[in-house]
Amino acid sequence: MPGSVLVSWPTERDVFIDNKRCGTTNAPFDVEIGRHDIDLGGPADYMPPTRKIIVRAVHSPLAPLRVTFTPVEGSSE
Amino acid sequence: MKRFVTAVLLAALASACAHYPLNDKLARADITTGYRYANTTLPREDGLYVILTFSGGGSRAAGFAYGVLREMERTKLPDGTRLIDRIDVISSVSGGSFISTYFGLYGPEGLDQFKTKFLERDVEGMLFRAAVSPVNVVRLLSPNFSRIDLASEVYDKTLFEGKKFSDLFAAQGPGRRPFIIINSTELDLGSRFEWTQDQFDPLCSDLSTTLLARGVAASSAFPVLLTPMVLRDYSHETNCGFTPPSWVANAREDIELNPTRHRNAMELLAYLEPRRQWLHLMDGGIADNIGLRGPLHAITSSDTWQMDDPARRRNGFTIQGELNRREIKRLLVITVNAATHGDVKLDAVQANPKLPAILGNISFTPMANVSFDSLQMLRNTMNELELRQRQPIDCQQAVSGTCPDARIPGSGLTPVSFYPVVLGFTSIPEQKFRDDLNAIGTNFALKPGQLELLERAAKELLAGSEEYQRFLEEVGAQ
Repeated sequence: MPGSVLVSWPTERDVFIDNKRCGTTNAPFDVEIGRHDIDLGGPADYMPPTRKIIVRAVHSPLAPLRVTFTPVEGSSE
Repeated sequence: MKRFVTAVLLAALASACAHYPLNDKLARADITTGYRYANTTLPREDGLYVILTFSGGGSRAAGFAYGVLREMERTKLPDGTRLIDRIDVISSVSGGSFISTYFGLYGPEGLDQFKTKFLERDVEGMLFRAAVSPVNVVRLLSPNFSRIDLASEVYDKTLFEGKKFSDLFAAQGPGRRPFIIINSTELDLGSRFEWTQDQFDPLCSDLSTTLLARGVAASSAFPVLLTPMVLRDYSHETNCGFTPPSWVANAREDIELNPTRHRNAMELLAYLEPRRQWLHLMDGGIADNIGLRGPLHAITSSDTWQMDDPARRRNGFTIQGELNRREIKRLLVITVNAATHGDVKLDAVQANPKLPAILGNISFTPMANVSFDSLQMLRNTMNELELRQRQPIDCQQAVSGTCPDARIPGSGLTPVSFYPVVLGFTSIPEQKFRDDLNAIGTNFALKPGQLELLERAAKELLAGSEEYQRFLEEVGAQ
């Protein structure tokens, strides 16, 4: 069974898990339990470029693993 | 004496010349080419996604699947299309692989021909006659030509007529045909082996030049009766540029957190092991006799064996992202399981069973148990995913009275509708009809009247399936 991940971002955009488009920002989405690389794809207007996460069974849609990226200075976000 | 010596020499020559067609080497792994999910994905405008799985069980399985396809052909969707034209993926095993592959080649229009060329023919007899023909008796003496190779020749002559995986690929685009996953079992690893280019890339082998009959034969290579099919793993001798996808490095550390994911990664890496130079493939039923494990994985994981796409557009067979983003709005999975459940046999007498009966039971019991678990997993998975998708909505409703400004993330998304349809003879209510179905053998020859029984079973089971009827009602099908 999967766990849930929630990425907050000022706007809605794609979220990539292990180089695959897997969900969108600001809504919880399912990810297979385990270690993953997560990023927001292009444009590269956020930091860090990628994060390592560990998704567990306890990460439910109501208590997801929350992942944050910081908009870089000068970005339109 | 001279004639005898000549005959022996000719036989020796024929035997020495007999060799199975070796799978070709791949010059360069390229995800933009080849028979793989990323290259055969159909357009889906309305969010309906349909997966079928066809089990093993010889012509009984093929006939049962034929009946289900015929019913889907008669089912019309509100936009005027037929349900049979909306199938996205068929994952099949053994007897089910004959009809899935033929359907992938010729679509609904080929069903009449399939009936004539396969279901109404004594393919079992053809296999026997081929095996005892003097020429083949000599060929079978060759260490490089065995019963499975002869079987694939018979299937090629009977049904597939020289068609290769490149033909299956070519048929799909214009014909809107589903992606067909033929499943075998890799004997040494004990794992599922899919006849797709995503599986062949780690071997540095080109699937496109391989005869379809070879894949189907390997999918139905019943242990002992047929020999394993041998494939060359070229990865130890050539560098075709295949690199494991990025999830593999993460999954290698997941042995405690998620052993299934870890195992998936290790199976992929096993094909890159330099000592693994040859593969031995047998009936897909050994690993999964209903062909459901691949689709289940695609629903619950984004891990596939396809190399990473630098453009991040092409994926192997996973639909988790499309479910997450609600691009798929309705997921219909129909499992067509032709397993039989016989009457009381061994336990009707006190005497211990004979060795063949014992061997038969210890072979089939684990397969049946795995199938049962797979079907339970399908129901559990769909129930849980639906529940998870409803949680934010239910929570939002619960808090809206007391905290009208509260917004629960995800509460604005409409949940996907899941329809797990499980078709099997155990659901037939009429005892006599059920007994007649269970009496159909697991071979490649149906007796007169048996195909009609299987077609009737398909029709009655679909009509009696609550999940299928719920699907038809909710999409407004007729």
